[in-house]
Amino acid sequence: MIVRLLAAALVCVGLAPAAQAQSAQFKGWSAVSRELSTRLARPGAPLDLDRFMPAEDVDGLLGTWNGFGDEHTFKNGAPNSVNMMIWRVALSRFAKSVAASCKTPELDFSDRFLDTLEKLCTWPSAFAKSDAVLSEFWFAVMGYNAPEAEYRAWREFFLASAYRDRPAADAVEAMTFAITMNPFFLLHR
Amino acid sequence: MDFCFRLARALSASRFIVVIALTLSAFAASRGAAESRDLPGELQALQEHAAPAPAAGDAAWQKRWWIEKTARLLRGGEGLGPGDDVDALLKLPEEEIARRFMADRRFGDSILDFNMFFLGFKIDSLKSDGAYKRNAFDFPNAVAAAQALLTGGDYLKLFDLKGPFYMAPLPQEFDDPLPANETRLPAETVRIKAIDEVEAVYVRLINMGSAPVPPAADDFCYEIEKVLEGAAAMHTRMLRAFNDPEIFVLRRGQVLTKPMEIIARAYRAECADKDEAKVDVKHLTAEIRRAFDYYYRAIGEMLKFEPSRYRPQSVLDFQEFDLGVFGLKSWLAFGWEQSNALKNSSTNFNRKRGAYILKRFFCDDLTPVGFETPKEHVSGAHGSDTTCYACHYKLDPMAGFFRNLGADFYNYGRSLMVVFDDDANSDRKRYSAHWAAAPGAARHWNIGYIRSPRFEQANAYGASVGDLSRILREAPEPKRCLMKRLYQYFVAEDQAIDAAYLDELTRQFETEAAANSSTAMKNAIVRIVLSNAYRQPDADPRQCYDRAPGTQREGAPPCGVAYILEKNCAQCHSGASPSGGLDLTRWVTAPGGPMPSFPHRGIDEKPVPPHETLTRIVERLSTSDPTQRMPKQKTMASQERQALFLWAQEEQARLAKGARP
Repeated sequence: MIVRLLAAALVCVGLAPAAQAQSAQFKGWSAVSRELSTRLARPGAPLDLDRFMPAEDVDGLLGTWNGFGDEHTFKNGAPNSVNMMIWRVALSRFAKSVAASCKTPELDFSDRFLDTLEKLCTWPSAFAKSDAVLSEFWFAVMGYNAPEAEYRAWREFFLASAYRDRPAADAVEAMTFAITMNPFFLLHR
Repeated sequence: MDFCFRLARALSASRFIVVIALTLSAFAASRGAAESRDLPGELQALQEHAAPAPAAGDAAWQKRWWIEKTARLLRGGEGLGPGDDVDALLKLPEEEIARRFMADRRFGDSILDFNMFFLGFKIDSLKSDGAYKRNAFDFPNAVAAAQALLTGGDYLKLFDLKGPFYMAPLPQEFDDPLPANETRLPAETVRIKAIDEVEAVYVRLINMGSAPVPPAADDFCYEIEKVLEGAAAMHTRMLRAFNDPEIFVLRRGQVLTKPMEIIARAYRAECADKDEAKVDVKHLTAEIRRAFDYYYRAIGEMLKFEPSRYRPQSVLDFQEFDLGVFGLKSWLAFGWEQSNALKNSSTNFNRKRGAYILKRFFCDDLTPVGFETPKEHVSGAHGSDTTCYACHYKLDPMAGFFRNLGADFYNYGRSLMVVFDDDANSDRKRYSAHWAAAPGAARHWNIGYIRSPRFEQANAYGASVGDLSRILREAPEPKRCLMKRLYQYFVAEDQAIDAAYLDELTRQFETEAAANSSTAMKNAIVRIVLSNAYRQPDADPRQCYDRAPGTQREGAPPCGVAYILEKNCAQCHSGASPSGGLDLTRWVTAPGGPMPSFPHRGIDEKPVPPHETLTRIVERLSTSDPTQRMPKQKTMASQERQALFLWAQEEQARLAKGARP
């Protein structure tokens, strides 16, 4: 399995253009939390996303402006194995919570997002696979941060892969996780 | 596939492997261990399904992306939400959208956030659980400028280093542990209790001194003496109800020390210097009452900032503190956090503070690029060594503005001594003498913003922090710096910007700011969010996407330096027979040459190799010999000299590696 994963990674590396001199940086946990709250929460009631963090006080490792005792610069924004691990843990927990909300909302989501989620939660119904439902969910979580190509790739993946027939609990979790791990969601540029 | 490309740009190859492994393992985990699909095959499917990069026809997607980004930047980090009618926004011109976002209440947060970025103290989020964090209040010039921008006032208050004071709501938790009997009490209750304990001490003395039957002078003096001796312990007990940032306010406002000084002075006058029979108990009591009044009024003002009654919902709600209770007309803009970040010492002569001003307000990072030999001999002074003087010629005079400000920026201007952050102290007059101008000089102090150590008429001199504020408002560099930071804030910190475009942004800002700086600032924001660089979803940081009108032409040098060369060098180094055979206005690839460079021919008319050209440029920029230093007999802005010098060094390194620009 590990060999296959590495092979997959190498396929991507091989396809990717040479990295530019500048590398994009993570937005940071605070910015991502704020964006998610704006899109998904009830007005004025930010989502408590800190509970998905694997430990206390590690949010600064995901990119932060905070500091004390010197001028502030953006720190820890460059992707590395540690902050990727933290993102992965936090956002996979978030994704799991969104999927679990198909039955009982675990977060204080807005009515509008709950409506959107309810439609997707009928997966693998044909209705849930419609472009209207999928794009509504995509925009609800991603906002308009990504180009259309990203949406198409995401949609086609879930319509064509084994997720096509998986239960909603699995599919919604994977869909949410795929959106939130997308570089257009996580990175500054 | 695009997903892979994007991620690969963000990560180096080795990191990318980890990320892909983690991402795929996340998918795998969600399917359960029993799943047995071919992951690489699935990945391949993802790549095959991925559409190519967005075509030009995807105007709606592109505009939605622009709207989302602009909403986030202009509404305090909050992008589009369910309350936004995106379809209606899509129908509006972009400028109209930007101006609508700037009319939103949350724009105040954006501009305060930018102001803190400008000052070098941006934080991740101004709010926590719906309430503004303490940091948001800590930079009064940032708050005042943000409020001014929202109300059409004077945005350039950002450059005022003295002004109003905006205290943060008092803390609801304490950093240090409370006594066991108070741990369960609300913070406000503890505070009132602590304040009352001190108040009781004053009241007891006042009651004693104003009793119908006055106390014996000796007894009264004894009681006062006991209070003075116990003052430090009493104050320590009181400070349990405050955290360090509020203690900073108590100290700068002399809330605890000044009343005790009043009482101590009266005690010395009446009890220590007079016979008992001549002690004026009434005078002593009046002075104690005066001391108490100061304490009472100051504390009363501070208590207006209890969170139970002060919870601002927007920047406009930030309330000015009545400085009259401290006997002050204005508050130094350097607050708690800057006092910690910009500490001075008995040996650094405020240079850290001077460097901060140069960096944040003048965008001068103090890159040592040599210096012009000054007319005045400086040998022997600290920083007068050739290399060091490249920075010290401007750093030390800037530091002089802070000569009276000791530890925590406390003003020792009326004291004999200055106490520094390292707890050392120095005779203030002797300390200040380090900045005294030479006898016979036209000015009293060698303090100011120094553009040239050789041509003093180019410099702006002063003596006080007030003078520095005036220089910041009058000098063109801070406004250019403001525009540069604005561009960095909205586009990216590392995005190349054409100097001519930056000058054009600055020129427009200056022109409009002469009438109204708030309008000028909002217009500058609009110009930037409508710029080409801002619209790039995946910008190349080395490329300039925006040019000043009429400045873009084929074969020009790289955009980061083209305008600097045009402005400072082209007068001699251009045309058919440029000075020294070097044309600094063109950037061409010589026939058969691997890299583009400036056309450069030696005395023998043979082409000079690019690395040799760059070496000479670096030397001529950094030499202190006025006969060699370029540009000759001209003052070049140090920011531009630094930019050109650093660029030439980078080009040298690139040439050495054989990489294309």
